[in-house]
Amino acid sequence: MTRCLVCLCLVLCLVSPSLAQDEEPIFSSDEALTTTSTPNETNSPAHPATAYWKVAATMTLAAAAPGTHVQMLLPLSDGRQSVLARHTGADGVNYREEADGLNLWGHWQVTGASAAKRQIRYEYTVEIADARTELPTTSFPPKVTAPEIRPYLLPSTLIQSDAAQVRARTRRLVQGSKRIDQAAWALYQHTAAFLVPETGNEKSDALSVLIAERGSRFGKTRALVALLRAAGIPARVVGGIRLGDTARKRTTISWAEALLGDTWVPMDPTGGYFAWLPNTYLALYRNDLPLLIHTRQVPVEYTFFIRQLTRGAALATEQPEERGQGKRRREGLRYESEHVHTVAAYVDRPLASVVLINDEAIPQGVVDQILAAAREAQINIALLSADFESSYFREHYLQSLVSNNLTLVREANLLLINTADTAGLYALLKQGELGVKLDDLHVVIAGGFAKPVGKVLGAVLLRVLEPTEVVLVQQQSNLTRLWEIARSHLHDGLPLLESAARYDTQAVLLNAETLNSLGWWRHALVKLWALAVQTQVPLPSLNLILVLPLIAFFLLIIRNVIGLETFGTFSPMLLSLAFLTTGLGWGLVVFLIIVGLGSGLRLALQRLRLHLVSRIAILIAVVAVSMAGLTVLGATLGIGALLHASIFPMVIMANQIESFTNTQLERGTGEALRLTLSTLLVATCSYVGIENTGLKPLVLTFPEILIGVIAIELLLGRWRGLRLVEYVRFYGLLRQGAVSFQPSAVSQTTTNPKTTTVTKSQTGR
Amino acid sequence: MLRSLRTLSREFLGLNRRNQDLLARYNPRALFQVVDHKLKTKAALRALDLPVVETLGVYRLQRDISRFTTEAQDWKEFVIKPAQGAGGEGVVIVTGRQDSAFVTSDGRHLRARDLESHLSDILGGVFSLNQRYDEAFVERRLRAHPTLARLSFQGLPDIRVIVFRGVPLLAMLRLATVASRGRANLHVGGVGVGINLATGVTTYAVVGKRWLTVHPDTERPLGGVRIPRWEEVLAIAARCADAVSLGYLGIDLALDAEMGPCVLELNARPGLSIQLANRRGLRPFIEAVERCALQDLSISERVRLGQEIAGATAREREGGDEVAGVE
Repeated sequence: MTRCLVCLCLVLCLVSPSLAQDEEPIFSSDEALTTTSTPNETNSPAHPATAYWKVAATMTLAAAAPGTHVQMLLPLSDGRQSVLARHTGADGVNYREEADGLNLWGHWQVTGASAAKRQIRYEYTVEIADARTELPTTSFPPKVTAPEIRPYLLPSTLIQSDAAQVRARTRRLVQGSKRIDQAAWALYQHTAAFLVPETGNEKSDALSVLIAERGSRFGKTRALVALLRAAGIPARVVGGIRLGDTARKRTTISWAEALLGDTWVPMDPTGGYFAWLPNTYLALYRNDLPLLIHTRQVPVEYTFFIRQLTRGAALATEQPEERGQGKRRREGLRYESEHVHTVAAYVDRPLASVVLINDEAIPQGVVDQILAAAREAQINIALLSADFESSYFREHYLQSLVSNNLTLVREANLLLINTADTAGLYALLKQGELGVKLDDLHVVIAGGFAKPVGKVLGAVLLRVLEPTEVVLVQQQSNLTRLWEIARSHLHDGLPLLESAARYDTQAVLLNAETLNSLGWWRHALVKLWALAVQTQVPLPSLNLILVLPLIAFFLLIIRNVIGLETFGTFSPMLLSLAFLTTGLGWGLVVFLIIVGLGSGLRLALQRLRLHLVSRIAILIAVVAVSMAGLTVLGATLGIGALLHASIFPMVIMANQIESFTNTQLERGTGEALRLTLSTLLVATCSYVGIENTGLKPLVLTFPEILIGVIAIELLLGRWRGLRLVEYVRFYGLLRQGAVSFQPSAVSQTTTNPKTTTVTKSQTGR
Repeated sequence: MLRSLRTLSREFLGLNRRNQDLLARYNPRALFQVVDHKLKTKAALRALDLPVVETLGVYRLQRDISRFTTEAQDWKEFVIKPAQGAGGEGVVIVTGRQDSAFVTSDGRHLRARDLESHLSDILGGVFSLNQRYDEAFVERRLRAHPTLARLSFQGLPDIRVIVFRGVPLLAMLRLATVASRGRANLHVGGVGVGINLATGVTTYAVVGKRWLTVHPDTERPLGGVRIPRWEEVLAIAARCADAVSLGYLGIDLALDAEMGPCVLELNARPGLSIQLANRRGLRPFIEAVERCALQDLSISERVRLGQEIAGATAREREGGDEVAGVE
């Protein structure tokens, strides 16, 4: 329902297309002074030069309610310009891309509830060459054109190429032209000679401009397109921005493109460029479209920040450069953009398209290499990556990466997922909760998980999302190799298994047939987990729950077999769960800071002699305040993980502080520190056990492990042997000879008649 | 080495076995409350005419505290204790008077008002680790028997006796050191000295992870000291088990210069370091007692049984595996 409303808004917005297209008069007056000489004389470059630019489009939404939607046209690579990198980041906003073959739309939808001002930022690095387009010399009027070209010959509301006056004007202008380039040149020259508008609010449709012989930049472009179409030459409006003259810009420009022979030839009657554009012209879209569409009644301000880069800076990895800029953070950019990246390359006539999802930042060199190879193979490719230490966040952001780019994923022929663990699988399965189906999609999953785990989870994926086939690649392969496999599959038409074998990669194929060949128990399990996903039970949470018995088992061993003492038997388990949300490093830092602060305060409270309950309540308040402080500090310093300290269970922390100080008072600081250390050690071991071993997904694959665990626990519960620590302590002391002062036993009494067993005769010494 | 480790595990009692075989079987949780409340313990012991420290005053409600100032006029040296305190928290020892102020063992001068507020804190449960409201009581201050007082650095030395089903099995003398700050508990740095159960003569001394021959602060030899009134100590310990009907008990006694042995407190979960101080594991002792019929034994017979078991297993061990001399 809301979706329909948004669509309606979009339609309404489309009716007034001049929304973002008003040219600033300052530039248009300059640019109108260009001459109307021959094509060879239009300030053409002495030698082709390439320029590198970094453009940041920012949109400020005042008071954006949730659901507010903004879409903007984004540049694509064509022969003249290529987009080297893209990034977007915004607070509380969902992002997805939509490509319609000709243009790329970025969609942003506000999700956060706060009605504060929001800033959306979209950055791209582009490389623009000013090479001249070779003019074909085919005959005029042109031959019948292919059906996909036909829309570029049709009249529209603002480009009235069918109006009698337009046709008459065209006929007059192209009279005598034998070659197509001559005809186009004649029409271009005619519009280039038009004057600038007097008042600035004249109509800017093609017909009005032609009649008045004066008009704005957009008006002249439309007039030229109308004339070209009337002459039977396919033509379209191109919108873009002009870079270089100023660092901030709020205006767009337009020019025309005509299909001469097989090439789209640019011509800008206002700027005076024919078959050539300077490397300051960045094309954002084709056809007469508004640059920006947004929900009504939400004022959107947009600005382009433009910076010219050296070639080295543009091609170097962008990460360190961005991190170094303290200023960027204050512009409201959230840390996600430092961790989540979207890079894409689109070609004009793609053979196929590939989406690659990765859980690490991809080195710029690899990105460049893959994008270049994709362009060469005529394959559209989108690289999505999320980079987090904690698997909780990795899963979370991989999920949103997938759902924000669902259109891309669905339209792709091949989906490659490359993650260190099962995070990628889970991110895809999450879509299953939403009822998404991925028909006709081939999925390659590479990750560090055991083969049976991959088989079961892959089978669940197959059952829930119904892709054509799933191929599991053992271990985390390097991206280049994955890409090679994809390329040889899509480009050379090899089946995935064969192309994997070609690149020496072990792979397992899962499809409907292999699904049926599973054993009954495994089959039932796959059905069960698939059912869980379909009924919107998140599999990762289920997995975490199933892992808890394993941690408890580990703690039992630590306590009863090894004999290591910790604060509270199961608090290391809760701590390790807390670490899952922050990552180990920051988790430990947060723990130490808060327990340190709290213990200091608790010692101070000791003098006041308060009741235990009020003491703990005060400690909880202190823990809460320090967490809030750490959260804000983390945000200011740009440390993402600290932001999530708030998920840290506060009561556990308060109890840790209480146990720490009680131990400190009763048994001394050394002992308290020793206990803290062993608690942290055990918590770290549990964390590493959950996170960095294949143990976690293994429980999901073999839940029967838990039966074995319970059996061992039953045995251990009846075990009465000495603990390891006791062995060490007793043995260490007893092996030292002690000085005996007295004969050890002196007993002269005879055996008591009522005792039954002490039978050895006693002899005193 | 492997053989001696096996001997170790056969002889010595670990926490796993203590918790499951002894505490779970012989010490029903319901009976813990008597042991964990010092006033209840005293009442139970007094009912069997066992010697306990004389209670001077009991304060159960905040309004009782107003009695303190008048009552305290008759007391010279006394100790204020919380009934459910642990680890010596909240204990104030008054050693004398100076003008109107009370002088404490650590040299502070406190007014009656300060002690009243301390009593009020105790009643509020400040020193009670199980977060309940508590009761406070005042006891006469004990003076250690000169034989033991010589050995310890300040603090009151006490004797811990492990009693299993009414049979005393192991004993150790606990002495305070500078490091333990007047407390005799082993894990805070007190010295544990094993006692030969049959003779009442001290054997080995241990502090932390090393053996001692002399006290680290007083430098008096710790071995070969005969504990005065030893048979009496064991008899009292054996009878304590009857008073609270717990199967596995640790009994802390003090030897007062005037009144002799007197029970300080009972412990329902006694620690296991006592085995180290005696260089002797508890397991064979426990097994021997479990094989005996104990119903009709008198106190003195139980004490003798304990002494025999300790002596017998010692000899058995000397003939067989040697734990102490592992190479």
